[in-house]
Amino acid sequence: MKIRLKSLLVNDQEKALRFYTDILGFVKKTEIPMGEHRWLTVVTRDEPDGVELVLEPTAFPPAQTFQQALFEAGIPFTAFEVDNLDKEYDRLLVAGVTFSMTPTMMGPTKLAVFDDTCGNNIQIYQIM
Amino acid sequence: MTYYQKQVQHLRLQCFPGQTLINRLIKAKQLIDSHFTEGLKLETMAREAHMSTFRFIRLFRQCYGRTPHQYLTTVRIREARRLLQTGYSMTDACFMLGFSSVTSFSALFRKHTGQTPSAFQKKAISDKSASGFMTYLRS
Repeated sequence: MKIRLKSLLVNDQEKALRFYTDILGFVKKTEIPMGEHRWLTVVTRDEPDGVELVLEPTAFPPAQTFQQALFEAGIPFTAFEVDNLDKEYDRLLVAGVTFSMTPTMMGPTKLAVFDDTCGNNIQIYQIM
Repeated sequence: MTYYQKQVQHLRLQCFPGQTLINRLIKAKQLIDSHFTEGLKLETMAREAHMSTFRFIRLFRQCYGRTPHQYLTTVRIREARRLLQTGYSMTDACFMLGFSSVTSFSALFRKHTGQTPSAFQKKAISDKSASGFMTYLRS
């Protein structure tokens, strides 16, 4: 058994694909039409065979409620590790990304949280 | 301030030592990150953090979730995986990582990954072109 997929609820798959590739720098791995939605995954550029992030549509109403509650509380349900958080923070700010939490130390880990424009707070972190 | 920000602030105060101590632990952790091939001794790491070995182990574990030795082993195994995946032989990887014998390297690697270095390398090469949903579709 292996961990190969991690789902992320997004309220607009096309918008999410643009954000996660153009802004964050991930790479589209799989796109398969499935009715009105798609099986859509992205991967880290440096790890094309690593874990795939599934950009899942929030078609299931309770999922929308869950996503909205997390967003309003500022809770990031997904986190990505970065090598240099300050640098990444500056880069994303320039790209127009909105942060709800600026770089903050939590023990030996530096965190920041941004809005992915598709209904989620995303945390980036660097273990110092 | 969001609920999450309040939680982060609360947990930071409740679960971690002050920033001065954290900075000293970070220095020691970074020593491990940059010198993991050199047979680092616990005393050397603790000295970098300006702490007794006992206190260093306790605080390191509190902050990083594992002991300094466990962390050092994790870093060495991660690098071993990378070397084997990129085609280095088991013997080369073993000595590049500062292990004194292939037998002890192989045993430690197996304990942490569930596979011998050679089995891991063989599988890594055969897996390289297959992953995720497409694999599922093809199977």
